[in-house]
Amino acid sequence: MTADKRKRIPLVTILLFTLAFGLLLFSSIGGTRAALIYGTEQNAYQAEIKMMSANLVLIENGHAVSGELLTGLPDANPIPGKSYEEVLAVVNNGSAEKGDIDEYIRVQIYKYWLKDDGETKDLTLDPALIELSAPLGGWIPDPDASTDERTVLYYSVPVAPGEATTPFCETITVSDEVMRTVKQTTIGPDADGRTTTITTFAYDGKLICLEVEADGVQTHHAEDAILSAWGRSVSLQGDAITLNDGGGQK
Amino acid sequence: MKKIKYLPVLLAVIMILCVSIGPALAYFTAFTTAKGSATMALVPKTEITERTANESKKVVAITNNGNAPCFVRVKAFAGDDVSMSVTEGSGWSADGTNCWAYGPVVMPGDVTSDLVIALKLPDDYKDGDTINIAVVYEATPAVWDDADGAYKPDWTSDVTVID
Repeated sequence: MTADKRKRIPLVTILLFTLAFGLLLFSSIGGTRAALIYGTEQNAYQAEIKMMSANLVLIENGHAVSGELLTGLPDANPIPGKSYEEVLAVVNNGSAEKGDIDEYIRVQIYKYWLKDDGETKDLTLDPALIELSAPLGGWIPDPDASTDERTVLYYSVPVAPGEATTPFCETITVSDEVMRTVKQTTIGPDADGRTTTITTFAYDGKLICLEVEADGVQTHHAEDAILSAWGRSVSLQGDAITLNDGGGQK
Repeated sequence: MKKIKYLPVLLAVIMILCVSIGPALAYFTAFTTAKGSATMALVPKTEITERTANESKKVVAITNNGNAPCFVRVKAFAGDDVSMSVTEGSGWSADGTNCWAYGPVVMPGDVTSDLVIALKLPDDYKDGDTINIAVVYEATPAVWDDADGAYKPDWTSDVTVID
């Protein structure tokens, strides 16, 4: 190869570099900001940008929840077969005057058993024995995403700031089947050939746990927003959403 | 040499791709969560108290020392030469299984009314003789019946054994 050929830079390379430089230059223009560098009190300038926001609050038996559920049960320990009032709903806690937005709302309700330590989930016990009443009108269950432990519900219409959904639960009951479920431990035989069988209530000392997650998403471009935020394909008919079959996460 | 020649081209392409990553779109969302739990107490904790009155009566009462309401029933045993009888009342009644069952639910901290077992001593009984009366009792957790709006006992259902 001659020295001339080594020194010559290919035209393609030059063009690509120019293109790249131009892209970098134009992309940084959008991020330019201006700062006020001179002014007096009389000439002070203030600018505000108001952002829209979305807010949600869970309501339990008419009271806003601050992170904890089941705090008002009348019995220290739930009685099997007894239905306790547990009216749950979601409120759009925003303010139209402040520019807060309407939202579509989804709730995910988890019910399961905890071991005696109150921390560890007990997978040997049946979550179906914790019974929640059916939601009132306006809620659409998602059977594809729901199990004995988890129930997923979508509120069919948007909720305006200051408005609430209908209750998605009204009572919680522990089935009296817990009274008829036991565990047995066999000890022995001992030196005298005796075997001892100890029978205990499987659910005694265990904790029922109720967990609720409520999500809200904007109403503009709702189908895209719901698919992006919740992974669920829906269709809009006016303001009302309907779930598309097979369009959700399992 | 060929590799070095095309390196600037490769770098230029990478730069162009990286520039386009910057802008991102987001939707307005909101989220809130809450959680709560409650402990099940199914095993009754009860205590029986017995006393003898006038050497011809056995008086029995049961206290619920636990956290859950329960129902109780009592059975008494004696030798063939001693007969026993109970006058139904004060919540106690024969339940058809040779037991006397206390009808009302015994709430935590409550005591049943006295179960008075009248004893008919043998004819040859004299002062200083000893007679053994064995009293056993059972307690079962109370179950709520929403239809009746009341507690009810369950002495007869079969149980399911799980691992």
